[in-house]
Amino acid sequence: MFKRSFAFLSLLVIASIALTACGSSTPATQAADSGSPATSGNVIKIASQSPLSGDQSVIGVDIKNGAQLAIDQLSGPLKDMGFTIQLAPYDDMANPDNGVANAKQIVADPAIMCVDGHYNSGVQIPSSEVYHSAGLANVSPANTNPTVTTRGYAEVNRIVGRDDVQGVVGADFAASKGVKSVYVMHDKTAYGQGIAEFFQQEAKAKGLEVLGFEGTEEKANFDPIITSIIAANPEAVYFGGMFSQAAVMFKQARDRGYEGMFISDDGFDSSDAAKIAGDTLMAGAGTFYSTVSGPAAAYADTAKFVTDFKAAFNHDPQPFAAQSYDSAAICLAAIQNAIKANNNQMPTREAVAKAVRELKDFKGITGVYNFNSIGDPVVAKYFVIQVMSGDPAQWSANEIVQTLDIAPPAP
Amino acid sequence: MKKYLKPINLMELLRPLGQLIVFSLGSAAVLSIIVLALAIVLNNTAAGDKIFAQLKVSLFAYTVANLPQVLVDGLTLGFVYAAIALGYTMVYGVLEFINFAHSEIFAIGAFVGVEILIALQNAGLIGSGSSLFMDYVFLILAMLAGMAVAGGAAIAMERIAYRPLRNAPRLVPLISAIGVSFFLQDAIRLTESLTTGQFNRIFPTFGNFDKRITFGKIPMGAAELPFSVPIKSFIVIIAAVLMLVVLNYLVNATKVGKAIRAVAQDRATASLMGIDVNHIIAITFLIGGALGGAAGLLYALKFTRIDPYVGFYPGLKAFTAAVLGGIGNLTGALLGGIILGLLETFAGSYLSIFTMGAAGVEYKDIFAFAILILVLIFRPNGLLGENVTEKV
Amino acid sequence: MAMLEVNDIHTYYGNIQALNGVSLKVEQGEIVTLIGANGAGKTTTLRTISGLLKPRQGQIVLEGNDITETPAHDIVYKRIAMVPEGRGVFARLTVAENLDLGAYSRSDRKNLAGDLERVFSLFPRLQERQKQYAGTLSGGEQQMLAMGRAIMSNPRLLLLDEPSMGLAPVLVDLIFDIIQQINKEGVTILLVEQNALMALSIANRGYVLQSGEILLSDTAESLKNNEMVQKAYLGIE
Ligand SMILES: Nc1ncnc2c1ncn2[C@@H]1O[C@H](COP(=O)(O)OP(=O)(O)O)[C@@H](O)[C@H]1O
Ligand SMILES: [Mg+2]
Repeated sequence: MFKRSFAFLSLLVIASIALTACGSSTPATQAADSGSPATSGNVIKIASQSPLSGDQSVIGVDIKNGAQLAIDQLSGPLKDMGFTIQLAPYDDMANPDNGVANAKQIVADPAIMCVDGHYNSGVQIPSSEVYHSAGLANVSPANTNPTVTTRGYAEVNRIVGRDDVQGVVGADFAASKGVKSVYVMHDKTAYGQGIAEFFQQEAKAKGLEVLGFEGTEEKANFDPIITSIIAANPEAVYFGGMFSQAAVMFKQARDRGYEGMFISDDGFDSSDAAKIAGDTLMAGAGTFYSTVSGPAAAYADTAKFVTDFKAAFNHDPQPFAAQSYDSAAICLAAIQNAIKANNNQMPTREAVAKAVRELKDFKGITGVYNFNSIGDPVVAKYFVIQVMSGDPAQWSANEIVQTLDIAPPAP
Repeated sequence: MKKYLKPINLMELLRPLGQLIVFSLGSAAVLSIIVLALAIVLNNTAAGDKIFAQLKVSLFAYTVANLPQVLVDGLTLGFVYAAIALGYTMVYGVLEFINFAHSEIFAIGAFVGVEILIALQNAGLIGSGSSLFMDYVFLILAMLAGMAVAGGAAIAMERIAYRPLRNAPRLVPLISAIGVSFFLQDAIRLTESLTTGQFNRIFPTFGNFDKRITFGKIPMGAAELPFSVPIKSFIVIIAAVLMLVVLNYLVNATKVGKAIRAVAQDRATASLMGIDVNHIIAITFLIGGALGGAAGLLYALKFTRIDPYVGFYPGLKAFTAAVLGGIGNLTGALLGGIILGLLETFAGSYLSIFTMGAAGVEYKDIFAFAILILVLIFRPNGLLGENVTEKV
Repeated sequence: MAMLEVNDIHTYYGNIQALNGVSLKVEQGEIVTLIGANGAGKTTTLRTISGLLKPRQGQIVLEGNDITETPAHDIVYKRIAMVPEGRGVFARLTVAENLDLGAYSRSDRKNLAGDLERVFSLFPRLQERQKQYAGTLSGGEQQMLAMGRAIMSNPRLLLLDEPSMGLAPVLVDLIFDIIQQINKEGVTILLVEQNALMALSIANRGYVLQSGEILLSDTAESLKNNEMVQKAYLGIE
């Protein structure tokens, strides 16, 4: 009896583990490194790291393409100074392990002077530890997690906004819409609560009355909190967190007759939000969410880029292609400055990293960039998007209703 | 003869209804009085001043105005907990074993029901344009299917994971139950990811379930609070009451119910009566599983979104409710569920105001569990634990 | 053919051997008693016959049919009923529900009312206490209930395990009277007792069990007069 029971138990445990393993995807295959031939004295390489395979490759490939276009179009001055510029694209497969393995190869290639990457913060953060230890400059076109810069590494920079600033965005948006009172909710995660705290701070600073500030891990039953919200009757409800909670809460609040405005962050940006809440998102004063980056068309100076990109790659640029173009352009400008400062000789990596940080009013296609002491842009663009339909299939038709330029929190 | 063969025992049918009413009104009254007393005490403190500054009403008026909605919400939640708690308590009553995988049986019921409804919606049978009558028919069918699959899963679970361990030390089947729980969570997740590729599943919008019946507006200072109850809350309450009544009748007034109670008390002697103990234990799991499955669909109806881990919190709360009421005791599960649902809703609705935001809605569970521990210190067997009359 | 034949059964609790080759016979209409000291294996013998325990060796034969492998819950359908040691009433069920469960195996529902009346005429106390929980009955009443419950299954063979245990002498007399009465109505009885004198005074035949083995078997009269039995079990020096 006993032997049988334990055999059974172990079987169960093994089966559970097997199921878990089946569920989590992405097998770890070898990184595809398209390393270029051995470098001669004046070859300088810029590496790109992004998912070139897997389900995020649509965006990752265009991050590489954006960098390629920048090098093709902007490396003229460096050529005149006698240097050959090449792109070294790496596939991080949206996987931290692959990102770190690639990063080790990258720092081992002395010709690489700057890295344009990554797409996922979860990959960028461990990979940039490697860049940091090698003194190699990294300009991120897409990573919004605060930790990317808050570590204070001299080599790591980004040209997009930060997740935690979205709270400020939401509050500024609410204020601009004449909202006088808000009820603030969050999901008790570092992400959601962080955003909600910034929202509360900014809302108070803008003279809004904060009628409540509550965190909850609840995913289903929001009845008690909605009772408090309806009694307090705020003009807007803010939720810092993910759609899977926010949309459920918004629906239940709307069902209870709440007519005010709903505002959330980019955790809300999923068509499943419409599946959960449907037309209730459109009712009352409507539903809005902030994001950190918009499509290329959302930026003023990208018209030429879009045309050139289409000509070169036969399709419209995906999100972050334009940012990648600018990241590579920043790398090129910094390398150029570092060479000049070194009497037209090959610069050190440290000098390039320093030059990136010291760039003044760099005019890219997605904005004018200056970096602060930790590598955040001194102002970044944020977007507020309005839900335009309760139909999940129409989620991409949601419209940008406000674009804001906001500074990151003081380092 | 007439005395011996009672065709339908009306008393047995009505008794749980009476208990339900007494428990609901009783718990609601006790909690209301406590909250109102607190409101009077806090009325003239900083908490009262704060609410007055914000909403221009006294804390007491605020408490009173919100009370009806809080009570209805709390009772609805309590009935959901009670329906799940019945499954824990049935199995415990018969085997003195806590079936931790009951929360996943609940999840299976929810998933089966929701997937069927999504399929019906994709086939155009429910949703825009369908008749209200058919909406209800399909809802009931989805619920029955969820009950059947959940009940079947519970039987299979007993047969495969618990029966071989029936004579093993007590901890062994408990560990097996935890293993089954993990196994089922991942099995649901894997099935979903292979078939629909989705983690979140959404209860389709159809019928008139989201519509609210408005009972009027309650004045609160200058403002008015709407007091309304959605039709789905009524469905939840009615279904839970029906389940309780049928279960009570089954256990207390039928032959199989008597056999279940006999097996619960003394398996060897029960078998001497000609009762096939394994069969009765399987039936117990079937009943508990079917109730859990029905509760799963009711939960999905009420709260819209489910995922493979959806069973965890309701399962934990329902288990708590069963312990609070006195595990093994059907009436206790009912009472425990109602009290826990009310406590949680009261805490969630008033804690923040009473503590001036220091302890908000996030503390509602901590508060509810603190009360539970307090009750168990004074009544270790739960509220009705010593009342032998109702034990399964 | 004997009604019940137990052939050389060996029964174990885990690795502990409790019966070491017990054989006995019960003829139709008899009262047979099985006496022996505490721990001799009397209860084990009855539990083996009723299917609650499986012998490792040996057979149990009912009217020529081997019932050794028949599970406990099917034994009652062979019309064998057992009143277990310590009564085994369902304490949290009412008296009426306990009696009802006694009739669980019956498919002839129409005869139940008559059988219930018979039980109530044997034990009028039970009728008075129908609605009471069995756990609230006195020891004697519980014994009556256990016997009444067994009768409700309409047995042909009744196995009784120490019905006199813990009862006041008046009650013991009453119980033994009723055993004889049931027997007269046609029920064969296998009676396990420590109260050997009482048992032998109503039985036709008897077996003496010691350490899991049959020591003696004879008519009740002879056993009563057996010197060894008198010394060991009847307290006669
Ligand atoms: N459940 C049990 N587990 C282990 N040994 C047991 C068990 N029940 C009885 N025994 C042992 O089996 C032997 C016979 O017991 P039993 O049949 O109850 O004796 P009796 O009924 O004659 O007093 C005794 O030695 C007793 O200790
Ligand atoms: Mg004994």
